[in-house]
Amino acid sequence: MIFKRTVYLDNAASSFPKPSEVTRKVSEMLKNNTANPGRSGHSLSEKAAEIIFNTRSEAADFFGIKGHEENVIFTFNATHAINTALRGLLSSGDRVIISDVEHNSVLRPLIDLKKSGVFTDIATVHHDDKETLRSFEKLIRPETRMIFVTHASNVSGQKLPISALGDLCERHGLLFGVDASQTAGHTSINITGDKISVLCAPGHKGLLSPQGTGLLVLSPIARLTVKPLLFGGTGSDSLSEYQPSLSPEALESGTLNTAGIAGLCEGIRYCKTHKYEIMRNINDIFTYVYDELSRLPYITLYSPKTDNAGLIAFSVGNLHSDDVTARLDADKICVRGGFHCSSLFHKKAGTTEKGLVRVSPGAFNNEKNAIDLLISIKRLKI
Amino acid sequence: MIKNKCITVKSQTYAQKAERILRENGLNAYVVRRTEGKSSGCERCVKVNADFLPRALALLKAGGVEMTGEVYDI
Repeated sequence: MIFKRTVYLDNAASSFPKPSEVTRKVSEMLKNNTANPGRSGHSLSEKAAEIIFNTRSEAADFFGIKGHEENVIFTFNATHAINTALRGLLSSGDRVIISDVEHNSVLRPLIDLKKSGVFTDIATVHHDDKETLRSFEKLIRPETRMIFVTHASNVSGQKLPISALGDLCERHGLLFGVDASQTAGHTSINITGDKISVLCAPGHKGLLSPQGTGLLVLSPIARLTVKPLLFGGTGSDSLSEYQPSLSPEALESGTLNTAGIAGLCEGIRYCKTHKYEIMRNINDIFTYVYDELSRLPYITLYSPKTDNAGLIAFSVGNLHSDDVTARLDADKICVRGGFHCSSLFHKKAGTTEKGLVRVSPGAFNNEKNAIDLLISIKRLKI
Repeated sequence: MIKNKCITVKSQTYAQKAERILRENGLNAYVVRRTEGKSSGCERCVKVNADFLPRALALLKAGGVEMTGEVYDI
């Protein structure tokens, strides 16, 4: 071990640390109010409901649909949001187009949906956005209902041209779903402007919030009816044996993660206030590490330098990525190795044997962290 | 004595949205649970001054708040 303090550069998996506003709020809620939001009618329950509603307001505003609180649905994470969107919007006979860099949270539900008659086409992502768009457009058929893509690859960080894909969907009358797992919080996303029908995001990554929080945000223009994934108590229409149909309650059966959502509210507020500062910080560290790594002959980079959400994927000589991360961990450097839950990406990149190391700076990293990482990488015996 | 009306809405979120819209437009409004008449269970209402009911209803309609159509005295 050469460094005294842990250097955390795995923010693409889950951000750490969280802003003090977030940790304070979560702790305050757990200490002072764990009443069931809106269910019981007493003052603590109503206060909890107010926190939930305020979080919907903040999220709606943050993603460009200010005043449409009913279009913000809380989920446990992005995977939960993606499953709700895909299963709730697609039905037998529909086709969906995804990219060839999707996370398993998109691919696996769609593989399972084949049993229900929903079929998937996979478009190739190129380094040239125009070529990427062409690869999507040529897969559109009369049965195509939706294009669903990640905003940025969770391995390489390469951003997809979501505004242009939104235009493409609008021209062809398709739904447009976006997985913003690697971008929400530090990249501008405007549901209305980007013509997004449904946005899925985790709370615990770029939004700097607790694990166990996520968002499914529906476009108010699309006026979608999403079938629920879970059925049960919603705190409304309680005498009816049928699931209510109104969003967001219809898609939020069961008690919400109130403390987590209170933290999410603070996380979104923090991102709103510090967005450009966070973007600049991530970009500065990304550029510095990227340039330094590109000078090392035994490093092979798999991330583009431009149009990148701030992730650097690379291999080190012939070493297995898990061996590299273990050795960096011995120096108290936390980065991710392996296959990043993206079979599509690794098959495309030809890295299924040894995986890749991924470095992902976040809001609270600094230049010293980058220097420590590079010292540790240079100490590896290749 | 001030007379109040309760505007019944279809969900907790719409009740809170209604309260926000009315307050932003200078009307006093409070979320309450429905206690009158036939309810489908756990319905929410927004309490407003009866004198401002027509304006409140117009604001809520314009704001996209889903209402049940029922209004009762409180």
